[in-house]
Amino acid sequence: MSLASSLKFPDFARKPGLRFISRRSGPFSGEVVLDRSRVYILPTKIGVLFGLLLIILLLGSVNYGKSMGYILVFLLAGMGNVAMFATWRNLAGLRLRAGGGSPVLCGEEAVFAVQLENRDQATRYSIAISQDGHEYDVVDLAPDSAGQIRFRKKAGKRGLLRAGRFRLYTEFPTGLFVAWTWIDLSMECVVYPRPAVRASRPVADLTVDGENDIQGGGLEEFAGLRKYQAGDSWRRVSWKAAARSDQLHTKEFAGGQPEMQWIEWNAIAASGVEARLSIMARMVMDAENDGRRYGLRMPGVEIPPALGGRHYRHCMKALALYGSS
Amino acid sequence: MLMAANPLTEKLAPVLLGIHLVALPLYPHLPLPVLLLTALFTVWAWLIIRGRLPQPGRLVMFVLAIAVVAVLIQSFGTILGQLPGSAMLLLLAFLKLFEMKAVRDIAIVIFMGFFLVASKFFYSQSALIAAHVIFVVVYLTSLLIVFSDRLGTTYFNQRMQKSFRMIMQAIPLMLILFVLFPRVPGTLWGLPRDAQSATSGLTDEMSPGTINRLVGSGEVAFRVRFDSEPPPRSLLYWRGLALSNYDGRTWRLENAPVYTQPFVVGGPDQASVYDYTVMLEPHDQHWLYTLESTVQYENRFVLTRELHMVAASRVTDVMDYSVSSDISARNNGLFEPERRKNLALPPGLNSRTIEFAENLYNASGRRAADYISAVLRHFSADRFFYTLTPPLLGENAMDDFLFDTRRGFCEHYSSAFVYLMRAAGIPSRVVIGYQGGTMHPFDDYMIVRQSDAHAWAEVWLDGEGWVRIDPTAAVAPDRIESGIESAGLERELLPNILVSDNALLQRARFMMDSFHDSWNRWVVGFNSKRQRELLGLLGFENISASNLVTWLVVLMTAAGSVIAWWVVKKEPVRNRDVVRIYYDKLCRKLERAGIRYRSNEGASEFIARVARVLPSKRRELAMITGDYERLRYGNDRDERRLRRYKRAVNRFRAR
Repeated sequence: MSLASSLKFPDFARKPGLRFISRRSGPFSGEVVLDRSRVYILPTKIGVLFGLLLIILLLGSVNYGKSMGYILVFLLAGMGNVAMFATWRNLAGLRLRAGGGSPVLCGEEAVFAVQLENRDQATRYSIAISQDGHEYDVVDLAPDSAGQIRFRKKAGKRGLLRAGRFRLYTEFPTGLFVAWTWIDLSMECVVYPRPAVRASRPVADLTVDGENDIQGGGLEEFAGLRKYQAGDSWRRVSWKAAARSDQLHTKEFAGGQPEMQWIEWNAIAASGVEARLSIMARMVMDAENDGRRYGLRMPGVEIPPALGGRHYRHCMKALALYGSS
Repeated sequence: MLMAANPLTEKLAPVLLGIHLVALPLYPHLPLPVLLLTALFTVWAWLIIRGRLPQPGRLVMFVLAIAVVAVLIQSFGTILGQLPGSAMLLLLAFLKLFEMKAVRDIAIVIFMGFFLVASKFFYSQSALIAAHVIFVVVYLTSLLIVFSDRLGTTYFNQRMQKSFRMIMQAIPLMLILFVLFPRVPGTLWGLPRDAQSATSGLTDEMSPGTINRLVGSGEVAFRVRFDSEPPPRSLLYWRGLALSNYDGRTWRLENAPVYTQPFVVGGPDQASVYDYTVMLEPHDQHWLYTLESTVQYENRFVLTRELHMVAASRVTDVMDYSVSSDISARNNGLFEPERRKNLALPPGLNSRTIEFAENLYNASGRRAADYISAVLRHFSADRFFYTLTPPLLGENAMDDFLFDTRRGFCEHYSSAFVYLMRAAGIPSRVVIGYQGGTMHPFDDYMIVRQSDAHAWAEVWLDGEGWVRIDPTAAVAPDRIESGIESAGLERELLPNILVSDNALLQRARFMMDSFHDSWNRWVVGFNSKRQRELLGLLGFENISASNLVTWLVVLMTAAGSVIAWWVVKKEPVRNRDVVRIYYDKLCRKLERAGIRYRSNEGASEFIARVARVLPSKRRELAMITGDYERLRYGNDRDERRLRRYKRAVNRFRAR
């Protein structure tokens, strides 16, 4: 528990700047168990106020010579002592694992999930997560169970967004103490470039067919539903399915016009890498929504034409990570 | 302010209850306006909690604050002092409840609750109050749990259990601190002026009915521990006050100037000296009760010329003191002003009494000793009665009593006796206090109750000093010899503990008294002297202050570690987790082959991933995983499946 060391160390709630904390907090891959060396504990503001209360009660007992006063103060002091250990225990022993981080578009918020596992026979209440001083989520964990706790991070630029270090903490059971830990689980997610508003050139043979609600000519057959991806066209969403379940699904179409499109780096009339990538991203999205097979050709990357969720992710990832080592 | 939108207000019902639970013992002491305001606030708070009323806005809160101060000043005349302070704390707790904005505010109210609990200690520190304190601490701690339970998933029973457990774990530390914490005598900033405690007992006046009124009370006035055998009952006169001033109805104090000293001459030998310790129940007066006559006493007290033993402040808490008394000692001093004071009679009253006194004095040859005997003989003749229900007396109280009613209690007889003495020119005064006392049947102390309250007289005889004369002994000698329950008085007016013939109940009552005595000595009256006594019992003789502090720190650390271990220890993993244990075993084996389990991937993905590395193991793994899922998430435990699963995991090789 390293109580002595943690008591000497004041609580910088935002960024842990000290090296011995940094060393213990990761980054880790795999499972992390919150053991003694990782859980810190200090009184909260209310805890300090409680301490003040005890001092006043003690002084009062001494002044008026009331034995019951002593009993009350010492009982409360004992309770505070027990509370400290109980709060520490509420967090210590918790097992953490990285959860997924779904890819997001640049400018959106990425959601990172931390998998929690409580192997104890006691419930862990009110475990909270925060980053940079902002609290995101609070969970309870039943005995011998797993759960998930999430936090969000703004995806400012394209590329790989590292979740970084987060703070897991609890004030349960009395709110007099806060036990916390800083952990980096090496979570990251891909941030796709922000798609441009319009594609750089119109696609041939585009007609809007009011009846079939399909862009592009030719016959296409309904091939099934897939899970909704960020960027999918709303026109392709199956609202009937959405009414039935709680999730959004996009209609996929197969066959039909095997119109193919190469999305080429060189063919984009735009200045700057980011602008180009932005336009290419828009083109990928449009192609995917329209059901047109598309391939990607950029310096160092060639992805043969295909269609579908996995292909979409592959292409967008290539765009996102362009230029990074 | 939105009504239903504040989820905080739903959490407030237990807090509202908590305020009342805490303040309950204070209600008997609070004046009516304060109680009415409390009731009003309770109803209002309840309506807010139910969402029927909004939380009061700034303006209303301001008005309420003014109202609170107004009510306090109207009831007490001030907001300073111990009782007004407690009342203010109580009312402010309600105001805080009204203006609750953040969950943090609940903690503030809880802390106010702890202060409120403490404020009762000025009135009582009995074992009942101690039980209340423990209950309140458990309850308020459970409120802290509410406050820190962010998702609101705990429920009342759970919280109370958890809180109770925490307090039980806190008790060892509390005991260590209580026993070892140094007790410093004296005050840091002074005592409250208006702190009162349960006041029953004698005051500094006596009139017909004063002593009478106390006879029905079985309450303990004080308890005495004698160093050796106590004196016989007929000599157990516990002096309180000597009253010299009589106005025709009431006897009052008229003390000599403060700087005067008593002049006590001891008896011929040590056999008449008794050493004892008194444990006095608080009676909110300055004087203390001692056996006549005090010869040695603690120097924190003063012995006045009238042989009153007086403390520096009113006795508002259980107090113990040690005294040496010599029952043969005499108070031998009388100045001329004192003589005049103790001969004064109210003019123009009781002419028959005065005439009777003169005649009787002459008939006794004008000799004091003979006159006294004659008066006592007059009382002991059959025509005088000792009763708890005497008729009322008129303006010439003495005449009415001596010649018409002839029925009275000890206050009548002592009063009349002193009057007769003064009428004959013998300086005399009334003494009030207690007479007698019962030895506890199975504990080693004597109990003196309010029902033992008594009034007697003392006369000044030249050459002998102040001599005690008890006229009640002439009328009802059994009262003095055997106690008030044997004096032939109306039994229904006497306290139960004296007249009950239920042996079991009596034993229970005396056991309770033993408990109260122990509580007084070891808890309430636990001062530095008692602390040294206790430590001596435990084997630590003559421990210095610094050693004490060292021991305190050492024991606290030790207790702290034990508590830490107790709170923090993990419960053993139970058997139903065996499925999990084996799956972990499997994962460890795979890790050694470089395949790490990822929790965000499904079982089929996991198997596929493993199959890429260890293709030969695909089927085996699929079987194990299938069994795992059925065992873990299925409803019934299939023993055969479990065995197959365990065996498969054991046999699995990640190569």
